[in-house]
Amino acid sequence: MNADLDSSEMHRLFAAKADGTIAPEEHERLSTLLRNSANARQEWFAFQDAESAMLAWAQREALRREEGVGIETAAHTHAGSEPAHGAPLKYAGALAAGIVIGVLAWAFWPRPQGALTPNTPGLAARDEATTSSVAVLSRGVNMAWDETVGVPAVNSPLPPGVLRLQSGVAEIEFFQGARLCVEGPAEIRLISAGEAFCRYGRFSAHVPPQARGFRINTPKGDIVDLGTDFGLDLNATSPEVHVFKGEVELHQPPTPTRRLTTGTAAGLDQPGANRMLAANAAAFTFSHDLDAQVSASRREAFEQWEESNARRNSDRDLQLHLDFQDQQGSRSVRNAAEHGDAIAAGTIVGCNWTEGRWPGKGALQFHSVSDRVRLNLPGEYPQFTLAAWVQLHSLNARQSQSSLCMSQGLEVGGVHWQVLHDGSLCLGIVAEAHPPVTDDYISPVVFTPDRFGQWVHLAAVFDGVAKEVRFYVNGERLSRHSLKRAVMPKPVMAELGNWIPSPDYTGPHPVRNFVGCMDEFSLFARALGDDELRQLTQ
Amino acid sequence: MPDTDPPSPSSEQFITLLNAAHGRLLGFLRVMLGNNADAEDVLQRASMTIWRKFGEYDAAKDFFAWASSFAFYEAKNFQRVSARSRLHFDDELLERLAEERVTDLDHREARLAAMDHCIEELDNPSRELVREFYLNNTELTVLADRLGRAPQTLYNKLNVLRRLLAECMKQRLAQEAGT
Repeated sequence: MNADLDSSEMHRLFAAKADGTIAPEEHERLSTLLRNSANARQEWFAFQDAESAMLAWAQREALRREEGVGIETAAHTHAGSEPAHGAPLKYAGALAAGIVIGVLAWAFWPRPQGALTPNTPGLAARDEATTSSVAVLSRGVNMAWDETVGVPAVNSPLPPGVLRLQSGVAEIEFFQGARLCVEGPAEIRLISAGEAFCRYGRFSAHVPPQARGFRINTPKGDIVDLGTDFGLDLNATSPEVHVFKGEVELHQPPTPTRRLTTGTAAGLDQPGANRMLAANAAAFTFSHDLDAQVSASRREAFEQWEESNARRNSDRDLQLHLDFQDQQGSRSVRNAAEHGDAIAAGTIVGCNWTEGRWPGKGALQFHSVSDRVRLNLPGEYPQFTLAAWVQLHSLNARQSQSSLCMSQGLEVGGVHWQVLHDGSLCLGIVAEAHPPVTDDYISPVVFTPDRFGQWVHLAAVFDGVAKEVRFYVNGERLSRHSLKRAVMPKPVMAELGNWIPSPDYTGPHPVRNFVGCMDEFSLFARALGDDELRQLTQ
Repeated sequence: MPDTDPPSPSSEQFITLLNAAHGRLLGFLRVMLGNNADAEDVLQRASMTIWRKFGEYDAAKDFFAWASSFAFYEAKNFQRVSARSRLHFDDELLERLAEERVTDLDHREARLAAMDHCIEELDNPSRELVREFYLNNTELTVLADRLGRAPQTLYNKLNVLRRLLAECMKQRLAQEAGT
């Protein structure tokens, strides 16, 4: 009875603390309780996990309800019309100094009944994806995947499941720390962060000490690694395991477990036959060659880019082309467009120089709220195309928009190209100044967690002649939207990766900074077509 | 490959590791700060520090263990400067909670899974209340107003549900441990 009373009082204190309604003397009581009782601390931990679970459930539930809308959007997009929720004009609320905070994101989220905060479902999506992945595809050369099974992208997290590599070499890093090099043809099923089932193929594993116990199951028996480098050939007429360094255990019930040590190899076909062999590292050179092959193929890609770059720079409508091949440490980015005399070099504020898509390719990394590139884009653009190669690192659920390229302030004609907090893209053209009204065109979601960390080509086309806006991802058209009204875009002062209301504004303003890298940015005074966009990414 | 060191720390690696540890780091911070919003805030700040220090991270070590020390200091710092609430646990208690929570986190996944089942067992109106409350962090007064009920009644109902769910979670975990 007494214990019950205590537990209910304890729970009440927990809830009051969590909800921020706790009174000072109650807080003192809670502190004392937690200080003195191991049991109370344990209950407190369990309470917090239960709270996490309820929050996560509520977010998933919202996402689930929202999915219906998402499907509808996709269907409409394919039909070439506007998204179902082609939101009405969004009126900028008269918030601090007339600045719009998240108005458009707010309008974008479906509200099944009454209020629903716009910022949570994205977070749930990120959390879910991370908990389900067990490994990451870290590198690869000439990879050809069986498309009926799935084609993972480099740097994408891998959930448990089957991968079928038809040819080429792929490197998979398991979250537990083991690194597995796979040579196609091969089939592997990821089971957990420390276990995989290999049906066929050739594999080379590097298992650092913290990944000890990494387990590879095969149709012929299981291999448990005790901290080693070993090779596994399931494609040979007689499957073999070779230990180059360290020790592995070979489980082939009912045969007693065998241990193989450095320099030895064993056939898997005849358990217990003890057909001990000398380990043959030469048979697994594909893994040693991976480094060289990866750098060779990246070098080649870079050279191809340099070649096509010269051709692209001569485009008459190319007003601005930042290729980020400036000297490391430079505080400005030059405009490489041959006919881009009207636009001067951009000024870098903050940012770090880093490596772009390939070694030798420069890029700018945007990380803090101050990082930006300032540009002056004079003139009017009845048609334009904005294109960029970006690597998005994360989206902040508390921040409604991340700037790709945004005109300063909210003047009529201002161009706001951005990533919304849920991973969709938005092109906004400011249509009215007082109070500010922006015509927003919003694409379906592009940045799901598996795209974080990957290089992605993005383009937004504004076509005042055809009266439409189009979005492209990696050269493919994603969606098109009819113009809401005729407004002449005038970007004027703009920023890559950030936004400010005006240079002399001193009050607080919403954070719009982009977190990631950019290694190419172009502005064309023309609405590029589908074919041109495709070519641009090749 | 056998003779090469692990690849040098990269942003991709950082993001992968941070994402994988995200839930546990949040769970770690929650028990010190008491609520999700503050835990998210602190994790956001700590992520910056962790990123800046990532060059020093030894890939052979457990990422969570390494990163949680920064999260801990960020939490302490947050309490020092935070004006949002004057009520926090003192440093000694904070240290104790942090220390015990590291091992306690092994139970986190099981608790989350058990809770998912328990929530599904609730009746519809109860589930709606949970959903509204956690999703919107709705001020209960607003919610009560909309539902035409007294805020205190609603809050009491919510707390009854919380207890019910906690009890259900406990039983499920005990059952699982038993089998």
